[in-house]
Amino acid sequence: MPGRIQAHGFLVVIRPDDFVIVQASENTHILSGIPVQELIGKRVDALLANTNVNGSSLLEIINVALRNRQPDSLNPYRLEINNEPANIILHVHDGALVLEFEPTDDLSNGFLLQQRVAQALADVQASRTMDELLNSAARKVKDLTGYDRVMIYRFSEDWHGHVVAEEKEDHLEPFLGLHYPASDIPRQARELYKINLVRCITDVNQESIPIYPVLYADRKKPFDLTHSVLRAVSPIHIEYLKNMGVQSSMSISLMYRGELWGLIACHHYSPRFIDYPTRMSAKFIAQLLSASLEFRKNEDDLAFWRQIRNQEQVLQEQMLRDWDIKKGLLDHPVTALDINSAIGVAVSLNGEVHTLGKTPSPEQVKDIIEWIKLTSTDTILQTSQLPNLMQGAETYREVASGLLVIELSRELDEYILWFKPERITQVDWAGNPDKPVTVDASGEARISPRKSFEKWTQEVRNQSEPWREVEIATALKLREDILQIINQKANHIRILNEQLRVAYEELDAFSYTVSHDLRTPLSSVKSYSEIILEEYSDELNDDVQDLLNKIIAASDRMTSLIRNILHYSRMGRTELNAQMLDMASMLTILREEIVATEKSRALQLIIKNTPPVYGDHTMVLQIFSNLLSNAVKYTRDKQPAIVIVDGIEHDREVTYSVQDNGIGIDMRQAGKMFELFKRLENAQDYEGSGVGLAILKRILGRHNGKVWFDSEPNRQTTFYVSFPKPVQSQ
Amino acid sequence: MHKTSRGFPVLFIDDNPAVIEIVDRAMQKVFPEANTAYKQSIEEAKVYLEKPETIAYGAYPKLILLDIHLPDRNDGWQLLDFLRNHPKWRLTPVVMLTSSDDDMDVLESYRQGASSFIAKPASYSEWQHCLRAIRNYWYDAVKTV
Repeated sequence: MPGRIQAHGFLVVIRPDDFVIVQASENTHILSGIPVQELIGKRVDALLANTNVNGSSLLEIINVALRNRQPDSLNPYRLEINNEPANIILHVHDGALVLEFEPTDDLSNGFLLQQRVAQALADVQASRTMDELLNSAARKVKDLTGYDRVMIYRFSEDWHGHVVAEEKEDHLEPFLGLHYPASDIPRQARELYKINLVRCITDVNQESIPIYPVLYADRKKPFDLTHSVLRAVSPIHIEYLKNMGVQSSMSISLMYRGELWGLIACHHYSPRFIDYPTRMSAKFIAQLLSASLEFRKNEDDLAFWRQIRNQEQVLQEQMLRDWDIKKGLLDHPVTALDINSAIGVAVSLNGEVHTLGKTPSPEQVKDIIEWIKLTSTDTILQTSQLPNLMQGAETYREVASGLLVIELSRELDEYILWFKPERITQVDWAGNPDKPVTVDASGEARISPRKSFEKWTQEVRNQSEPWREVEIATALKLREDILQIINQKANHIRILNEQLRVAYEELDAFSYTVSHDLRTPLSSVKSYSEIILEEYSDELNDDVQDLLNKIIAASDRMTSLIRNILHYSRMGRTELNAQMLDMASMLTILREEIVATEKSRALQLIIKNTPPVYGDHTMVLQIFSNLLSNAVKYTRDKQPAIVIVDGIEHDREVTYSVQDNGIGIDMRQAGKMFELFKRLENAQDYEGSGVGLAILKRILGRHNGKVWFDSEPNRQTTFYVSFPKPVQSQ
Repeated sequence: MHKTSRGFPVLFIDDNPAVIEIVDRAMQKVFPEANTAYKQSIEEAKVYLEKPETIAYGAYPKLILLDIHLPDRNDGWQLLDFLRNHPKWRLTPVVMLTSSDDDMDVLESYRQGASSFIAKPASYSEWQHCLRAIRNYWYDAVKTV
């Protein structure tokens, strides 16, 4: 409370250059024997009338403390006020010296305090668990201060508090395990607690004393009492304590890594004053506790950290060895479940969700991923209360109240999600936490201290154990490892692709050269056979002539095969020159050519609709030439042979069908159809190299088109080819 | 005028001796007037073409049949280039032969001054047919110098 102090002491504000009093609490007449109004503007000596100290020795001591830049070193400065022992406590703030006078116990307790502090140190070192440590600290503080109740109060992430250790007089009702809403200790109070580590209220029923004058020097506001030991607290807090039946209190901050971890909260049910040396001893115990808190927490974490870091290392090795992230994370004895305390993990990779352990269904995991994408752009996200954040998540809260997610690729929906089960807990509130705000007569909501501290039990659902820092850190490390592997993989694939491209080109060039070079000796074989037949026919019997004709026929087949291979390799290499093709004329010319060579047969080659096709003229001609000659070839024994060509235009593509009534294709062998050199059993009697359809497929591949067929043996075969339409440029 | 005692001089260049043997037989059969020299490489061909006896009137080839692939097609074009830049052979008809059916080969050969381009026959009968056609055109029909 600004500008007021508690009634058990005196406060004066002094200019440091000339020790003139600029402000003083209105009760200083007890010290000085003169009204406070007369004291202002006088040197500090004027204050000491009713003490056993003379001005010059006080000034000297202050001077020494200031010269050493350690005003604290003076504290406490002992004196007597009206023959009662007292202490002066000095601090420097906002350009002024502040002297506070307060009572003290007998001289003799200095040694006792030291002993107790030493004992506390030994106990803290001896306690093995956190609970032991906290209980021991509470006990020590109670012994030291004599408060009726000493509690260790721990803040949660949402700043509500929780009594984790308690030492009290037997007749008092225990508060251990009770929770207090965050509004009980508002944010401004918590900020103050981080600066001024020890606060005392001696008697809630004693009227506080104003400081005169109200405003400090030229600051146009009261003096800032943040560092004052006598500072009066807000009437709201006083009311809060009164509602609880507490008459005097002390609280000491417990700090962990610069943040408020908790408090040592002391209550007394009658007025109680704790003097400066005792307070300092209690503060020392609190600091000791803070330090070992840090130490112990780190130690607990360290063992866990070591364990999961080792496992994470194993995961990384597995992923590298398998060259597969999903396998490395899920398919070995050590899995992604071993790097934290989750009960289930889902890996969303390459459009698939893989799960291990207890998880929501893959569909639900996909919902969660959608929610993550809407909620967060961070690479890591964690919560211990997913059902409270995400609509619909309550249905699987048993397995997924806790969620830890790392993002691998937002664009590809690639995430790893860990789940923790719901932990249903009973929280015992000291009073209903939802009613800290009361509405006054004027109808306005106002913050008022709670009146009820009746135990109020609440069942908390939708929450899991929180994720520990090391779990989060390890998940991040795993993410780095995975991204590195993905990167390496991408590079590796790029290199493989390049090698493949080169190999492919070489193979094409090779097959081109080879087929070319094969043709020459082959034509020699044929030529020599012909020479023999022609020049020496008189000397050859029929059998030899027959055999020579077989050599010639075989070399003809080989020549045709080689020509086809050359063709096949050329279709992969030649540049594509796409344009809109007049299919009617192309098909008509083809029909004329074919019919001309098949004059002796009863062949009907029917051309129906001929929508234009976008493609390379030579290649498309090759396609239809292959399809039509196949159709004609495999209908050789039909009377009449009927071949029908028809085209349909769709939204995005043009599809042609070529149907014949020939020998048909056994659909069980359909998979082999487009492979190079594959010939089906019922086609053995028909001439062919097994390259035609492979060429066709290759050409369509280069056009981003498709080829497929259906057939009934000895009834019909229909081949379909489709060509994408050109993309319209707007 | 071209029916000299030494016949109609032809130079045939192909790196494959089997082809030369087959062509020789076919030549004797369908083009007996030809007095053909066979060479298997550019080098041999050049040496032959630079010899004084070859250059002597009445002896030099009036027709050159040249396989592009010797064995590389650039070899064939190199010889063609040599001929087209040679004062003596600049105007001599050169018939290119190739087993490749690459349109680019055809185009490039004409661009470099080939007189005609023939797909290389793949059999004895085809050779006879082809050489007969060459005889009909280059010996009977065309006036050469």
